[in-house]
Amino acid sequence: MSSSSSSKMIELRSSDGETFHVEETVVLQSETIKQMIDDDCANAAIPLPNVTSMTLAKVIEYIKKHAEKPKDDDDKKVAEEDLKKFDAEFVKVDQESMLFDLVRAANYLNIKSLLDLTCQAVADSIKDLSVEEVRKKFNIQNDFTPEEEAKVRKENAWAFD
Amino acid sequence: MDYKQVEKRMNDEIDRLSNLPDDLIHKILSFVGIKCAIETSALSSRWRFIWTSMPYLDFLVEDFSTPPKLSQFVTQVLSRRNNLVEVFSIKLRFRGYFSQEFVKQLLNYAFSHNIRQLDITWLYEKGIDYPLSLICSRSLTHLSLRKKYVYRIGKGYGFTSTSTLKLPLLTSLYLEDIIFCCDDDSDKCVGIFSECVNLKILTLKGCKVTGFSHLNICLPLLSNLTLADVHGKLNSVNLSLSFAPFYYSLEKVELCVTHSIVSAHKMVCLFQQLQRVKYLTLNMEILEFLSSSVELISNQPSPFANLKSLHIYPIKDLSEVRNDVKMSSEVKNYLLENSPSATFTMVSREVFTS
Repeated sequence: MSSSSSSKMIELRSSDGETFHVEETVVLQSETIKQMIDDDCANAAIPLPNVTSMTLAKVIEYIKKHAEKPKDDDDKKVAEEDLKKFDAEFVKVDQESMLFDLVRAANYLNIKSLLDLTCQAVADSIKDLSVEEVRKKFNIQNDFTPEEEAKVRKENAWAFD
Repeated sequence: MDYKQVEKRMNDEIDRLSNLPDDLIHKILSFVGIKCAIETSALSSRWRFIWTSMPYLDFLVEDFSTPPKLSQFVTQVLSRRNNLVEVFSIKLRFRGYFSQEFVKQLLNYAFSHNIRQLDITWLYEKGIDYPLSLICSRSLTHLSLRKKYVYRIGKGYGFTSTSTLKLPLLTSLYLEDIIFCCDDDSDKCVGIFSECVNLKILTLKGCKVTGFSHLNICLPLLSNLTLADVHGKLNSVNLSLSFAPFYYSLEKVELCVTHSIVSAHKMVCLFQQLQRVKYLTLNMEILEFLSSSVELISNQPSPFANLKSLHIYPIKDLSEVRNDVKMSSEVKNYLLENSPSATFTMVSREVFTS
Protein backbone atom coordinates (compact mmCIF):
# COMPACT_ATOMS: atom_id res chain seq x y z
CA MET A 1 0.00 0.00 0.00
CA SER A 2 1.16 3.48 -0.73
CA SER A 3 1.80 5.63 2.34
CA SER A 4 -0.06 8.61 0.94
CA SER A 5 -3.78 8.31 1.55
CA SER A 6 -4.58 11.05 -0.96
CA SER A 7 -3.52 8.89 -3.87
CA LYS A 8 -5.96 6.07 -3.19
CA MET A 9 -7.98 5.44 -6.34
CA ILE A 10 -11.62 4.44 -6.53
CA GLU A 11 -13.04 2.64 -9.53
CA LEU A 12 -16.46 3.62 -10.84
CA ARG A 13 -18.42 1.72 -13.48
CA SER A 14 -21.04 3.47 -15.61
CA SER A 15 -24.33 1.92 -16.76
CA ASP A 16 -22.76 1.12 -20.15
CA GLY A 17 -19.86 -0.72 -18.52
CA GLU A 18 -17.07 1.82 -18.84
CA THR A 19 -14.74 2.14 -15.84
CA PHE A 20 -13.29 5.36 -14.45
CA HIS A 21 -10.50 5.72 -11.90
CA VAL A 22 -10.86 8.70 -9.60
CA GLU A 23 -8.94 9.75 -6.50
CA GLU A 24 -10.82 8.97 -3.32
CA THR A 25 -10.50 12.57 -2.05
CA VAL A 26 -12.21 13.79 -5.24
CA VAL A 27 -14.98 11.24 -5.28
CA LEU A 28 -15.93 11.88 -1.65
CA GLN A 29 -17.90 14.91 -2.87
CA SER A 30 -20.56 12.38 -3.74
CA GLU A 31 -22.40 11.58 -0.52
CA THR A 32 -23.69 8.38 -2.10
CA ILE A 33 -20.20 7.07 -2.88
CA LYS A 34 -18.86 8.35 0.44
CA GLN A 35 -21.47 6.24 2.17
CA MET A 36 -20.43 3.18 0.14
CA ILE A 37 -16.77 3.74 1.03
CA ASP A 38 -17.67 4.22 4.71
CA ASP A 39 -19.65 0.98 4.59
CA ASP A 40 -16.62 -0.73 3.06
CA CYS A 41 -18.42 -1.50 -0.18
CA ALA A 42 -15.81 0.11 -2.41
CA ASN A 43 -13.18 -2.59 -2.67
CA ALA A 44 -14.24 -3.56 -6.17
CA ALA A 45 -15.49 -1.21 -8.88
CA ILE A 46 -18.56 0.73 -7.75
CA PRO A 47 -21.42 0.13 -10.19
CA LEU A 48 -23.48 3.21 -11.06
CA PRO A 49 -26.40 1.71 -12.99
CA ASN A 50 -28.17 5.08 -13.29
CA VAL A 51 -25.31 7.02 -14.87
CA THR A 52 -24.05 6.69 -18.45
CA SER A 53 -20.36 7.00 -19.27
CA MET A 54 -20.95 10.31 -21.04
CA THR A 55 -22.66 11.80 -18.00
CA LEU A 56 -20.19 10.25 -15.56
CA ALA A 57 -17.24 11.76 -17.45
CA LYS A 58 -18.87 15.16 -17.12
CA VAL A 59 -19.56 14.66 -13.40
CA ILE A 60 -15.93 13.64 -12.84
CA GLU A 61 -14.74 16.74 -14.69
CA TYR A 62 -16.86 18.79 -12.27
CA ILE A 63 -15.77 17.15 -9.01
CA LYS A 64 -12.11 17.19 -10.07
CA LYS A 65 -12.27 20.92 -10.65
CA HIS A 66 -14.07 21.46 -7.35
CA ALA A 67 -11.49 19.40 -5.44
CA GLU A 68 -8.63 21.76 -6.29
CA LYS A 69 -7.40 23.51 -3.17
CA PRO A 70 -5.94 27.03 -3.26
CA LYS A 71 -2.55 27.35 -1.57
CA ASP A 72 -3.03 30.67 0.20
CA ASP A 73 -5.46 33.54 0.60
CA ASP A 74 -4.44 35.41 -2.55
CA ASP A 75 -4.83 32.21 -4.45
CA LYS A 76 -8.22 31.67 -2.87
CA LYS A 77 -9.76 34.74 -4.50
CA VAL A 78 -8.40 33.85 -7.91
CA ALA A 79 -9.56 30.27 -7.47
CA GLU A 80 -13.08 31.38 -6.49
CA GLU A 81 -13.36 33.53 -9.60
CA ASP A 82 -11.97 30.73 -11.71
CA LEU A 83 -14.47 28.26 -10.24
CA LYS A 84 -17.37 30.61 -10.97
CA LYS A 85 -16.28 30.84 -14.60
CA PHE A 86 -15.90 27.08 -14.77
CA ASP A 87 -19.41 26.53 -13.37
CA ALA A 88 -20.95 28.99 -15.83
CA GLU A 89 -19.26 27.24 -18.75
CA PHE A 90 -19.97 23.78 -17.36
CA VAL A 91 -23.76 24.11 -17.65
CA LYS A 92 -23.59 25.49 -21.20
CA VAL A 93 -24.06 22.01 -22.65
CA ASP A 94 -24.66 21.39 -26.35
CA GLN A 95 -27.64 19.19 -25.78
CA GLU A 96 -30.42 19.98 -23.38
CA SER A 97 -30.69 16.25 -22.61
CA MET A 98 -27.21 16.36 -21.04
CA LEU A 99 -28.36 19.00 -18.56
CA PHE A 100 -31.24 16.77 -17.43
CA ASP A 101 -28.91 13.75 -17.25
CA LEU A 102 -26.64 15.82 -15.01
CA VAL A 103 -29.56 16.84 -12.77
CA ARG A 104 -30.47 13.17 -12.31
CA ALA A 105 -26.86 12.06 -11.82
CA ALA A 106 -26.16 14.83 -9.28
CA ASN A 107 -29.29 13.77 -7.43
CA TYR A 108 -28.42 10.08 -7.51
CA LEU A 109 -24.80 10.64 -6.52
CA ASN A 110 -25.92 13.24 -3.99
CA ILE A 111 -23.52 16.04 -4.91
CA LYS A 112 -25.32 19.06 -3.53
CA SER A 113 -23.39 21.83 -5.28
CA LEU A 114 -23.77 20.14 -8.68
CA LEU A 115 -27.47 19.58 -8.12
CA ASP A 116 -27.93 23.24 -7.21
CA LEU A 117 -25.88 24.35 -10.20
CA THR A 118 -27.77 22.25 -12.74
CA CYS A 119 -31.23 22.93 -11.28
CA GLN A 120 -30.41 26.64 -11.30
CA ALA A 121 -29.46 26.33 -14.97
CA VAL A 122 -32.78 24.67 -15.83
CA ALA A 123 -34.61 27.29 -13.74
CA ASP A 124 -32.83 30.11 -15.56
CA SER A 125 -34.04 28.76 -18.88
CA ILE A 126 -37.65 28.73 -17.63
CA LYS A 127 -37.77 31.92 -15.61
CA ASP A 128 -38.71 34.61 -18.06
CA LEU A 129 -40.78 32.54 -20.45
CA SER A 130 -44.55 32.48 -20.81
CA VAL A 131 -46.47 29.24 -20.26
CA GLU A 132 -46.65 28.72 -24.04
CA GLU A 133 -42.93 29.33 -24.46
CA VAL A 134 -42.05 26.83 -21.71
CA ARG A 135 -44.27 24.20 -23.36
CA LYS A 136 -42.58 24.76 -26.68
CA LYS A 137 -39.04 24.78 -25.31
CA PHE A 138 -39.42 21.54 -23.36
CA ASN A 139 -41.96 19.73 -25.58
CA ILE A 140 -44.59 19.73 -22.87
CA GLN A 141 -47.87 18.34 -24.23
CA ASN A 142 -50.75 20.55 -23.20
CA ASP A 143 -53.37 17.95 -22.30
CA PHE A 144 -55.88 20.48 -20.95
CA THR A 145 -59.01 21.29 -22.91
CA PRO A 146 -59.27 25.05 -23.50
CA GLU A 147 -61.98 25.17 -20.81
CA GLU A 148 -59.80 23.31 -18.32
CA GLU A 149 -56.84 25.55 -19.01
CA ALA A 150 -58.97 28.65 -18.53
CA LYS A 151 -60.19 27.21 -15.25
CA VAL A 152 -56.65 26.54 -13.97
CA ARG A 153 -55.56 30.03 -14.88
CA LYS A 154 -58.57 31.52 -13.14
CA GLU A 155 -57.94 29.36 -10.08
CA ASN A 156 -54.47 30.80 -9.69
CA ALA A 157 -55.23 34.38 -10.68
CA TRP A 158 -54.89 35.45 -7.02
CA ALA A 159 -51.15 34.99 -7.29
CA PHE A 160 -50.74 37.56 -10.04
CA ASP A 161 -52.77 40.55 -8.81
CA MET B 1 -36.17 10.12 -43.35
CA ASP B 2 -33.48 7.65 -42.35
CA TYR B 3 -33.32 5.90 -39.02
CA LYS B 4 -30.85 8.31 -37.44
CA GLN B 5 -32.98 11.31 -38.23
CA VAL B 6 -36.05 9.63 -36.80
CA GLU B 7 -34.16 8.80 -33.66
CA LYS B 8 -32.93 12.36 -33.39
CA ARG B 9 -36.43 13.71 -33.87
CA MET B 10 -37.81 11.40 -31.23
CA ASN B 11 -35.01 12.41 -28.94
CA ASP B 12 -35.87 16.04 -29.46
CA GLU B 13 -39.48 15.43 -28.63
CA ILE B 14 -39.02 13.85 -25.23
CA ASP B 15 -40.42 16.02 -22.47
CA ARG B 16 -37.47 15.65 -20.11
CA LEU B 17 -38.65 18.33 -17.74
CA SER B 18 -42.06 16.78 -16.96
CA ASN B 19 -40.42 13.34 -16.74
CA LEU B 20 -38.34 14.35 -13.76
CA PRO B 21 -39.55 13.10 -10.38
CA ASP B 22 -41.48 15.61 -8.28
CA ASP B 23 -38.64 16.26 -5.85
CA LEU B 24 -36.34 17.38 -8.68
CA ILE B 25 -39.05 19.57 -10.19
CA HIS B 26 -39.53 21.14 -6.75
CA LYS B 27 -35.80 21.79 -6.58
CA ILE B 28 -35.88 23.52 -9.97
CA LEU B 29 -38.98 25.51 -9.05
CA SER B 30 -37.24 26.68 -5.88
CA PHE B 31 -34.92 28.67 -8.15
CA VAL B 32 -37.61 30.33 -10.29
CA GLY B 33 -39.49 32.12 -7.51
CA ILE B 34 -42.81 31.13 -6.04
CA LYS B 35 -45.00 33.19 -8.39
CA CYS B 36 -43.46 31.57 -11.44
CA ALA B 37 -43.80 28.17 -9.73
CA ILE B 38 -47.54 28.75 -9.34
CA GLU B 39 -47.75 29.85 -12.97
CA THR B 40 -46.42 26.45 -14.12
CA SER B 41 -49.71 24.86 -13.02
CA ALA B 42 -51.14 25.91 -16.41
CA LEU B 43 -48.53 23.91 -18.38
CA SER B 44 -50.30 20.54 -18.33
CA SER B 45 -52.17 18.22 -15.98
CA ARG B 46 -48.81 16.87 -14.77
CA TRP B 47 -47.99 20.36 -13.50
CA ARG B 48 -51.35 21.41 -12.16
CA PHE B 49 -50.71 20.68 -8.47
CA ILE B 50 -46.92 20.30 -8.35
CA TRP B 51 -46.38 23.67 -6.69
CA THR B 52 -48.78 22.81 -3.86
CA SER B 53 -46.32 20.27 -2.50
CA MET B 54 -43.20 22.47 -2.78
CA PRO B 55 -41.12 22.08 0.38
CA TYR B 56 -39.18 25.29 -0.27
CA LEU B 57 -41.06 28.56 0.20
CA ASP B 58 -39.43 31.93 -0.47
CA PHE B 59 -41.47 35.07 0.17
CA LEU B 60 -39.53 38.18 -0.80
CA VAL B 61 -41.01 41.65 -0.47
CA GLU B 62 -39.26 42.73 -3.71
CA ASP B 63 -41.67 40.52 -5.67
CA PHE B 64 -44.68 42.49 -4.50
CA SER B 65 -45.86 46.02 -5.18
CA THR B 66 -46.75 46.67 -1.55
CA PRO B 67 -45.93 44.88 1.72
CA PRO B 68 -49.61 44.06 2.51
CA LYS B 69 -49.77 42.22 -0.84
CA LEU B 70 -46.98 39.98 0.43
CA SER B 71 -48.85 39.04 3.58
CA GLN B 72 -52.06 38.33 1.62
CA PHE B 73 -50.03 36.20 -0.75
CA VAL B 74 -48.44 34.20 2.07
CA THR B 75 -51.85 33.55 3.61
CA GLN B 76 -53.17 32.33 0.25
CA VAL B 77 -50.19 30.05 -0.37
CA LEU B 78 -50.49 28.45 3.05
CA SER B 79 -54.22 27.84 2.65
CA ARG B 80 -53.86 26.36 -0.85
CA ARG B 81 -50.75 24.34 -0.16
CA ASN B 82 -51.02 20.58 0.33
CA ASN B 83 -51.32 20.40 4.08
CA LEU B 84 -49.88 16.90 4.30
CA VAL B 85 -46.49 17.83 2.84
CA GLU B 86 -43.73 18.93 5.18
CA VAL B 87 -41.95 22.25 4.73
CA PHE B 88 -38.18 22.08 4.36
CA SER B 89 -37.31 25.75 4.25
CA ILE B 90 -38.92 29.17 4.42
CA LYS B 91 -37.27 32.43 3.48
CA LEU B 92 -39.19 35.55 4.39
CA ARG B 93 -37.99 39.05 3.66
CA PHE B 94 -40.39 41.77 4.63
CA ARG B 95 -40.60 45.45 5.11
CA GLY B 96 -42.79 47.79 7.08
CA TYR B 97 -45.47 46.85 9.50
CA PHE B 98 -46.85 43.37 9.80
CA SER B 99 -49.30 42.24 12.38
CA GLN B 100 -48.05 39.83 15.00
CA GLU B 101 -50.94 37.65 13.91
CA PHE B 102 -49.35 37.25 10.48
CA VAL B 103 -45.95 36.30 11.84
CA LYS B 104 -47.59 33.93 14.28
CA GLN B 105 -49.60 32.24 11.54
CA LEU B 106 -46.53 31.70 9.39
CA LEU B 107 -44.37 30.39 12.23
CA ASN B 108 -47.13 28.07 13.44
CA TYR B 109 -47.51 26.66 9.97
CA ALA B 110 -43.76 26.22 9.59
CA PHE B 111 -43.25 24.50 12.93
CA SER B 112 -46.28 22.24 12.59
CA HIS B 113 -44.90 21.12 9.19
CA ASN B 114 -41.50 20.15 10.59
CA ILE B 115 -39.51 22.96 9.03
CA ARG B 116 -35.69 22.53 8.97
CA GLN B 117 -34.44 25.90 7.76
CA LEU B 118 -35.90 29.30 8.56
CA ASP B 119 -34.50 32.55 7.29
CA ILE B 120 -36.19 35.84 8.19
CA THR B 121 -35.04 39.33 7.24
CA TRP B 122 -36.86 42.40 8.46
CA LEU B 123 -36.24 45.52 6.44
CA TYR B 124 -36.68 47.70 9.39
CA GLU B 125 -38.52 50.98 9.41
CA LYS B 126 -39.70 51.60 12.91
CA GLY B 127 -39.78 49.88 16.22
CA ILE B 128 -41.80 46.72 16.23
CA ASP B 129 -41.59 43.88 18.67
CA TYR B 130 -42.01 40.50 17.12
CA PRO B 131 -42.93 37.51 19.19
CA LEU B 132 -39.64 35.68 18.97
CA SER B 133 -40.63 33.57 21.92
CA LEU B 134 -42.82 31.79 19.36
CA ILE B 135 -39.71 30.31 17.79
CA CYS B 136 -39.87 26.90 19.32
CA SER B 137 -39.38 23.84 17.17
CA ARG B 138 -38.28 20.23 17.47
CA SER B 139 -37.29 20.04 13.79
CA LEU B 140 -35.44 23.28 12.99
CA THR B 141 -31.73 22.85 12.18
CA HIS B 142 -30.90 26.26 10.72
CA LEU B 143 -32.18 29.65 11.86
CA SER B 144 -31.21 33.06 10.54
CA LEU B 145 -32.78 36.27 11.79
CA ARG B 146 -31.63 39.59 10.56
CA LYS B 147 -32.83 43.13 10.64
CA LYS B 148 -31.72 45.80 8.20
CA TYR B 149 -32.26 49.40 9.07
CA VAL B 150 -33.98 51.22 6.29
CA TYR B 151 -33.78 54.65 7.80
CA ARG B 152 -34.88 55.34 11.34
CA ILE B 153 -33.55 53.48 14.31
CA GLY B 154 -36.28 52.81 16.76
CA LYS B 155 -37.03 50.30 19.39
CA GLY B 156 -35.71 46.93 18.37
CA TYR B 157 -37.09 43.53 18.90
CA GLY B 158 -35.29 41.20 21.11
CA PHE B 159 -34.99 38.26 23.35
CA THR B 160 -35.88 38.95 26.89
CA SER B 161 -34.06 37.30 29.72
CA THR B 162 -36.91 34.93 30.26
CA SER B 163 -36.81 33.67 26.68
CA THR B 164 -34.67 30.72 25.84
CA LEU B 165 -34.55 29.48 22.29
CA LYS B 166 -36.12 26.05 22.48
CA LEU B 167 -34.53 24.49 19.42
CA PRO B 168 -32.98 21.15 20.37
CA LEU B 169 -31.95 20.12 16.83
CA LEU B 170 -30.57 23.48 15.74
CA THR B 171 -27.02 23.21 14.36
CA SER B 172 -26.59 26.63 12.79
CA LEU B 173 -27.75 30.00 14.13
CA TYR B 174 -27.20 33.42 12.56
CA LEU B 175 -28.43 36.54 14.35
CA GLU B 176 -27.89 40.05 13.02
CA ASP B 177 -28.93 43.27 14.76
CA ILE B 178 -30.87 41.47 17.42
CA ILE B 179 -31.18 42.85 20.93
CA PHE B 180 -30.76 40.54 23.85
CA CYS B 181 -32.40 42.29 26.72
CA CYS B 182 -33.42 41.77 30.25
CA ASP B 183 -36.84 42.87 31.50
CA ASP B 184 -35.66 44.01 34.88
CA ASP B 185 -32.34 45.65 35.60
CA SER B 186 -30.88 42.77 37.51
CA ASP B 187 -27.30 41.89 36.64
CA LYS B 188 -27.89 38.38 35.41
CA CYS B 189 -26.19 35.88 33.22
CA VAL B 190 -28.65 34.63 30.70
CA GLY B 191 -28.74 31.33 28.86
CA ILE B 192 -30.55 32.27 25.68
CA PHE B 193 -28.83 29.39 23.87
CA SER B 194 -28.88 26.90 26.70
CA GLU B 195 -31.49 24.69 25.06
CA CYS B 196 -29.80 24.62 21.66
CA VAL B 197 -27.66 21.68 22.69
CA ASN B 198 -26.71 20.65 19.15
CA LEU B 199 -25.56 24.06 17.97
CA LYS B 200 -22.31 23.88 15.98
CA ILE B 201 -22.19 27.19 14.13
CA LEU B 202 -23.06 30.44 15.86
CA THR B 203 -22.82 33.91 14.32
CA LEU B 204 -23.77 37.05 16.20
CA LYS B 205 -23.42 40.20 14.16
CA GLY B 206 -24.17 43.72 15.34
CA CYS B 207 -26.18 42.37 18.23
CA LYS B 208 -26.76 44.37 21.36
CA VAL B 209 -26.77 43.05 24.87
CA THR B 210 -28.62 45.14 27.41
CA GLY B 211 -29.72 44.72 30.96
CA PHE B 212 -27.31 41.96 31.85
CA SER B 213 -23.59 41.69 31.88
CA HIS B 214 -22.88 38.25 30.48
CA LEU B 215 -24.05 36.51 27.39
CA ASN B 216 -23.78 32.88 28.24
CA ILE B 217 -22.56 30.71 25.39
CA CYS B 218 -22.38 27.30 26.91
CA LEU B 219 -22.63 24.93 23.99
CA PRO B 220 -20.79 21.61 24.15
CA LEU B 221 -20.74 20.97 20.38
CA LEU B 222 -19.96 24.48 19.16
CA SER B 223 -17.20 24.36 16.54
CA ASN B 224 -17.57 27.63 14.71
CA LEU B 225 -18.11 30.99 16.40
CA THR B 226 -18.29 34.43 14.82
CA LEU B 227 -18.77 37.52 16.95
CA ALA B 228 -18.81 40.66 14.89
CA ASP B 229 -19.52 43.99 16.49
CA VAL B 230 -21.51 42.37 19.21
CA HIS B 231 -22.20 45.75 20.70
CA GLY B 232 -21.68 47.51 17.39
CA LYS B 233 -22.57 51.14 17.08
CA LEU B 234 -24.79 50.68 20.05
CA ASN B 235 -22.34 51.74 22.66
CA SER B 236 -23.75 50.88 26.01
CA VAL B 237 -22.44 47.39 26.42
CA ASN B 238 -19.24 45.68 27.33
CA LEU B 239 -18.28 42.56 25.55
CA SER B 240 -18.39 39.83 28.04
CA LEU B 241 -19.10 36.24 27.36
CA SER B 242 -19.00 33.23 29.52
CA PHE B 243 -18.11 29.97 27.90
CA ALA B 244 -18.09 26.50 29.22
CA PRO B 245 -14.73 25.95 30.91
CA PHE B 246 -13.28 23.53 28.38
CA TYR B 247 -14.01 23.99 24.76
CA TYR B 248 -12.89 20.83 23.09
CA SER B 249 -15.06 21.29 20.06
CA LEU B 250 -14.52 24.98 19.29
CA GLU B 251 -12.22 25.07 16.25
CA LYS B 252 -12.91 28.21 14.33
CA VAL B 253 -13.40 31.66 15.81
CA GLU B 254 -13.82 34.99 14.11
CA LEU B 255 -13.87 38.15 16.19
CA CYS B 256 -14.53 41.67 15.08
CA VAL B 257 -14.33 44.23 17.84
CA THR B 258 -13.97 47.98 17.72
CA HIS B 259 -11.47 48.77 20.40
CA SER B 260 -12.84 51.96 21.86
CA ILE B 261 -15.57 50.02 23.57
CA VAL B 262 -13.86 47.03 25.09
CA SER B 263 -11.22 46.94 27.77
CA ALA B 264 -7.94 45.14 27.06
CA HIS B 265 -8.47 43.12 30.18
CA LYS B 266 -11.76 41.73 28.89
CA MET B 267 -10.21 40.90 25.55
CA VAL B 268 -7.46 38.92 27.25
CA CYS B 269 -10.05 37.10 29.36
CA LEU B 270 -11.96 36.23 26.23
CA PHE B 271 -8.80 34.87 24.54
CA GLN B 272 -8.12 32.70 27.55
CA GLN B 273 -11.44 31.02 27.03
CA LEU B 274 -10.57 30.20 23.45
CA GLN B 275 -7.44 28.19 24.18
CA ARG B 276 -8.16 25.27 21.89
CA VAL B 277 -9.08 27.22 18.81
CA LYS B 278 -7.37 26.16 15.58
CA TYR B 279 -8.45 28.84 13.14
CA LEU B 280 -8.61 32.39 14.44
CA THR B 281 -9.58 35.54 12.57
CA LEU B 282 -9.29 38.97 14.18
CA ASN B 283 -9.83 42.48 12.94
CA MET B 284 -6.79 44.73 12.80
CA GLU B 285 -8.24 47.05 15.41
CA ILE B 286 -7.82 44.31 18.00
CA LEU B 287 -4.09 44.38 17.23
CA GLU B 288 -3.94 48.14 17.71
CA PHE B 289 -5.69 47.69 20.88
CA LEU B 290 -3.40 44.94 22.19
CA SER B 291 -0.39 47.01 21.12
CA SER B 292 -1.53 49.80 23.38
CA SER B 293 -1.68 47.44 26.34
CA VAL B 294 1.76 45.84 26.08
CA GLU B 295 2.24 45.77 29.88
CA LEU B 296 -0.88 43.68 30.25
CA ILE B 297 -0.11 41.08 27.61
CA SER B 298 3.59 40.76 28.35
CA ASN B 299 2.62 39.40 31.76
CA GLN B 300 0.29 36.85 30.20
CA PRO B 301 1.13 33.48 28.73
CA SER B 302 0.17 33.05 25.11
CA PRO B 303 -3.39 31.73 25.24
CA PHE B 304 -3.45 29.62 22.08
CA ALA B 305 -1.74 26.25 21.96
CA ASN B 306 -3.41 24.68 18.94
CA LEU B 307 -3.54 27.43 16.34
CA LYS B 308 -3.19 26.34 12.74
CA SER B 309 -3.89 29.73 11.27
CA LEU B 310 -4.23 33.33 12.37
CA HIS B 311 -5.77 35.78 9.96
CA ILE B 312 -5.89 39.54 10.49
CA TYR B 313 -7.95 41.92 8.38
CA PRO B 314 -8.96 45.59 8.70
CA ILE B 315 -12.48 46.96 9.05
CA LYS B 316 -13.38 48.80 5.88
CA ASP B 317 -14.83 51.93 7.49
CA LEU B 318 -11.68 52.51 9.49
CA SER B 319 -9.28 51.79 6.65
CA GLU B 320 -9.84 55.17 5.09
CA VAL B 321 -8.97 57.13 8.20
CA ARG B 322 -6.15 55.10 9.71
CA ASN B 323 -2.74 53.91 8.68
CA ASP B 324 -1.58 50.37 8.62
CA VAL B 325 -0.63 48.68 11.82
CA LYS B 326 2.63 46.85 12.29
CA MET B 327 2.34 43.94 14.60
CA SER B 328 4.81 44.45 17.44
CA SER B 329 6.91 41.50 18.53
CA GLU B 330 5.18 41.55 21.93
CA VAL B 331 1.77 41.13 20.33
CA LYS B 332 3.05 38.52 17.94
CA ASN B 333 4.58 36.55 20.80
CA TYR B 334 1.44 36.83 22.81
CA LEU B 335 -0.72 35.45 20.01
CA LEU B 336 1.57 32.91 18.40
CA GLU B 337 4.26 31.83 20.87
CA ASN B 338 2.60 28.55 21.77
CA SER B 339 1.58 27.70 18.21
CA PRO B 340 4.85 27.89 16.25
CA SER B 341 3.51 26.07 13.21
CA ALA B 342 0.51 28.34 12.66
CA THR B 343 0.30 30.19 9.38
CA PHE B 344 -0.11 33.91 9.79
CA THR B 345 -1.73 36.20 7.22
CA MET B 346 -2.58 39.87 7.41
CA VAL B 347 -4.53 42.01 4.95
CA SER B 348 -3.24 45.59 4.95
CA ARG B 349 -5.54 48.59 5.01
CA GLU B 350 -4.00 49.83 1.79
CA VAL B 351 -5.00 46.67 -0.04
CA PHE B 352 -8.42 46.93 1.42
CA THR B 353 -9.14 50.47 0.27
CA SER B 354 -7.64 50.14 -3.19
